[in-house]
Amino acid sequence: MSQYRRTKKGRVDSRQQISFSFDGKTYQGLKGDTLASALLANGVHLVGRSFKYHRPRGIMAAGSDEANALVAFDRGEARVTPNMRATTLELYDGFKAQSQNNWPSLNFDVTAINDRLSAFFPAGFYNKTFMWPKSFWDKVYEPAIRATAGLGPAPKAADPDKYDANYTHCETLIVGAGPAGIAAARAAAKKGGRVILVDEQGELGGSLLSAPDQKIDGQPAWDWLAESLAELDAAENVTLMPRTTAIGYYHDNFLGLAERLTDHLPEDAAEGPRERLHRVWAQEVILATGAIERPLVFAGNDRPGVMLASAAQTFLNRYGVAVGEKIAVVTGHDSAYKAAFDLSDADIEIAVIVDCRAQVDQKLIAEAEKRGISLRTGHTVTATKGRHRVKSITINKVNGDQVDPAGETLECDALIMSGGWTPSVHLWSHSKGSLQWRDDIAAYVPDKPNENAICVGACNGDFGIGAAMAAGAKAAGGDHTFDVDDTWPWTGAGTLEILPTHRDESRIKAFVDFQNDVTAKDIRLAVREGFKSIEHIKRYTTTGMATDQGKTSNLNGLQIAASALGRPVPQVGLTTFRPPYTPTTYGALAGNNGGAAFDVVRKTSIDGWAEEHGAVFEPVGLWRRARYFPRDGEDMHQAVAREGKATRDSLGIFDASTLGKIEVVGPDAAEFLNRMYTNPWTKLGVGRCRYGLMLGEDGYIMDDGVIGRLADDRFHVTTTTGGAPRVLAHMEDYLQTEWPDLDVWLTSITEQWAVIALNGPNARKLIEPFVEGVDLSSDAFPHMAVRECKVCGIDARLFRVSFSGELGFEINVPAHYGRALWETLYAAGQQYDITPYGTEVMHVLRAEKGFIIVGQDTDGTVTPYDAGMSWAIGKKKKDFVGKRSLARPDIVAEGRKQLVGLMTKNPKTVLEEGAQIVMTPNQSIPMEMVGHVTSSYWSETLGHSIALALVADGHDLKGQTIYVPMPDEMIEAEIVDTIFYDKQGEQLNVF
Amino acid sequence: MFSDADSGSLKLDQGVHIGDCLRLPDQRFDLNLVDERSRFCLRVRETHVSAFAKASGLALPTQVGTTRQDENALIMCLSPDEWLIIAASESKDLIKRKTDQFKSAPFSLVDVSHRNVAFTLRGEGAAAMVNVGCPLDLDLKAFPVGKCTRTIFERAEIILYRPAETEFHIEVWRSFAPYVLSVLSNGAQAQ
Repeated sequence: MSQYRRTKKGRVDSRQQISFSFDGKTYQGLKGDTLASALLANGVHLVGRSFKYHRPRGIMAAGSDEANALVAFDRGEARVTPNMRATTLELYDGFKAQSQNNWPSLNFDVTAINDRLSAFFPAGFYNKTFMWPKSFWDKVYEPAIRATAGLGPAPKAADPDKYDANYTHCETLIVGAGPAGIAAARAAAKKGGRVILVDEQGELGGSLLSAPDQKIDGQPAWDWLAESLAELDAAENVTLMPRTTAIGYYHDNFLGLAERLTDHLPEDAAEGPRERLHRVWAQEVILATGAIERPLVFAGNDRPGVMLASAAQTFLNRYGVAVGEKIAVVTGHDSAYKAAFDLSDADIEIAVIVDCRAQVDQKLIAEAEKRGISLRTGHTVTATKGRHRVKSITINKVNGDQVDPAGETLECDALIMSGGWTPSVHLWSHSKGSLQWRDDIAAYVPDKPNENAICVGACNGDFGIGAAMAAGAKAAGGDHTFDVDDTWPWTGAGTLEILPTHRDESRIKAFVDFQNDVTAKDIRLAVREGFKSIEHIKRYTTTGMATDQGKTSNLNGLQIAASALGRPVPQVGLTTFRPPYTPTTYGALAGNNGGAAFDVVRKTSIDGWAEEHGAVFEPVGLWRRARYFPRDGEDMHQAVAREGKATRDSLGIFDASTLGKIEVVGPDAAEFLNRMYTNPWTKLGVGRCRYGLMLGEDGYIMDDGVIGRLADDRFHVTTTTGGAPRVLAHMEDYLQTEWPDLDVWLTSITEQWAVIALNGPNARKLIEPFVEGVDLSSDAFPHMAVRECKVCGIDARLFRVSFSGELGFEINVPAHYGRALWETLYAAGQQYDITPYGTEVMHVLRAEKGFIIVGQDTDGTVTPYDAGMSWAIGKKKKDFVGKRSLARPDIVAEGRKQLVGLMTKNPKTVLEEGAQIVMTPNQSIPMEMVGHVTSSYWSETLGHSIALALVADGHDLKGQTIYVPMPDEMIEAEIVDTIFYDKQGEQLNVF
Repeated sequence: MFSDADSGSLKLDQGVHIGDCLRLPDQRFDLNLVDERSRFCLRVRETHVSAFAKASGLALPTQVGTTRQDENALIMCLSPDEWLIIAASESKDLIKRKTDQFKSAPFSLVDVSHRNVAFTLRGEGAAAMVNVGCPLDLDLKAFPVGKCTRTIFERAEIILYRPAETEFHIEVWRSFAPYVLSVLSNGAQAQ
């Protein structure tokens, strides 16, 4: 056992030796150790290099507030987690971790030159120097800064671990299992209802774990703790969750709890998910999150061996580890004395207690004297020495505002400090609870709640254990008071900002934010450069912006800024706390959404067939649709040319199932459609279809689709694939808020029907044998007709419609039959060389006919007139949604962009969609842009490229030449009609 | 013309396949796909509900979130004027005939049989599995036997119904079903 281990102390099990490795070297620890406590037990203080200056850093805290000791936790190549705090990693046999942010080694880091060059890296250095020359930012500065600044690298391989997530409800959620939280949980358990008690640590107990000599109701604290936890564990309504961080507190008492399940276990014992995210709704939340000790700000306060006083106390009392053999203490708060006395009582030499206050409590002086500890009140620390670990400190006397330059150097191998305590109000702030400043403790404490939440104990600024426990019990409806000796003095120096020094403050590095390497002078520089708000100072200096969110630095930074500004702290403000409380893995946030569950991919009933036949897919909204079906090494161009030609020449089959469908039912159905669409519906006969154009209230095209009348009071409305939910919501909105008097109801039937579109001269011949009870001849069943019938014996809705310009049918069958019908038709269609085609050919064929696609040829600013679709507006209709907007002055003004066709002079040139259009080629840049290309394809049918475009006053420019400037050429094209193929529509009626 | 004899040749496929990942050893629940059903979305104005129920013989529950099951169908009341009727696949015409008996006011009956697929989750661990993706409180006090509601399962909309203390019935639109199943499967493996 090493000289630093105190086997009589702590909760670690000295019979259970654990072997672990750090930076490739093997050490021994004990069961119950964290990586930090085990390293300290081995006398290892140097564990990392700092973010910016690569200064040697050690362990400064004992919990999740650690800002220095960030390591890469190594559970195998794909399982390396960088930037883990050594103080929160529980040791197991075979544990492995590495230091990070150093090269070639922790002891000798080349980039530590940054420390010497620090004059070149002032606050906001990347906002200043490195902005010039501009082109260097992407290529030189940014990559260089990224490579040297920093944090550990993320693993490149996929994470092999599983993660879980669930939703949970409870009546009482208690965050923090310290004395206040446990007292609250016991009261809540008695009250009844579901109780959840969470704590981020592996062991429940909070500060009691570091206070074995505390007595509660006459019992030693650890006995009381064991009894309380056993009672809670046995209670049926209580769930205890160790290793669970309440990462965020959201609206309506909704909290995220990230539970770590396997990181503390040896790999062979780690079964099941690594982490579980509990998304919890709690009726009431009791925050017992404690407080975090503040470092003092002085030159060299970041040297390994310099740490928080409470951390040294915890390492001793909880882990049985002496952080040094000769420890100096510097403090502005009474609490450090207790730490010093605990250490002294464990036979650790206390070199000195330096207190920056002139006066301290007599009891503390007496206790120090009793132990023979040299106490220097009214003193300051002005320097520390020691390359990889503190070796000595320089202390100076303070006389009023003056620091005596004659310092005294004292040897030590650790320096523990306390600048007072900061209540952990992070979660309270997430919940939008307000804060108030308390001068006496120089900290913000909770004021008014915004949710059903209450803060108890140290996080509420109540530091006595007895008071905290009574508050906890009371918050949970109990009335127990606890017999606890709370008579230790607990006052601090109030507003401290920086320890006084005689040295030139612009030449010393007194760290405020240890993780982001921000010093006091950086904050002062920011103030000198004109920053007044803490929000700006924070972003300029990056103080508080590291992954620890400034747990140890926020208030020191704030006080330094306030003092530099000459304003009281509350006027400078406080930066916002945001979730997560501590860094959280992406895995925990992803939960069960890995693999196929990553996102919703909607597939039609025919999708499987398309996949088996080699389709290339594209996403359309949440749907995936077959884009084309390449054969024998075809590229998209070849496949599309073949599929399109086959459809025009004989027969194509297309899965149109994703089209939105809404069944509109009721005696007022036609009237409702009259109001929602520009077209007239009253006179549409049963069994007939009409193209419907839908506008928003602004008069711009919103959606379109074919609507069939199945009965007087029943319409089958189709919408665009992506527009389906929007259109239904739009309709429901009007129906419910404007016209609740109409007897009409809307039901989404998108998923009820699989839709198979058959296009081409042989379409009728193919389907005729399968359709029952419908005369498919053009006279009996003309273009734009619909029938309810049976197809292959299945109830179907058969439409004769065409989006291709060819003879076309769309067969709707109940979705579960979609694939079977498709396969039947495909087999029967072999005699016509039936060709499956995808959305790409669908787009080409419709463009050849000049049919628009809403959202491609329209962009939310296109009216029916602009699109050349005035014919779709019912001229006699009194009203429809958007009608009044069509008379707006800007809509009837000249110069609006209108839809036209384009034919390039070179037939082989296919324009780029989105390309800008100019009227003359020889303008100086910037040219006057008159429009842009909306759709552009190679048309195999025409042997020529075709395009649709929106061009200012385009309808009047037919025959004119326009130009499309591209990086390497100026493309010439002629404005033509939007219908490129079969202008008379003869193909619709082939027999 | 297509003959009746061939009509049976179209194979019904609900598009959902419960994989091995939901058949784990010592799993505390069973997940099954419900066979094809007839489903209707029924819309009747509140003022006509009792007359409709009387004329049609369909026992409509009138409190939102409640269900009624009789020999004809399971009927869920989803909003003040909306019901989901679930019946045997061969009962489609029966339900239509019954609703046609109501002639005194307009209403809407739409066939949505294939819009949904349904799963049942049974067993001690069923509620926990639902809570993998559904945010509702499934404590019996908050979600008693017989309750139904439209809700979400992660990013999919579902209808959740509790036929028994340890049994849940999930209705989901067809194309969202594989997603729901994927989340359930991941959740089952992580239990």
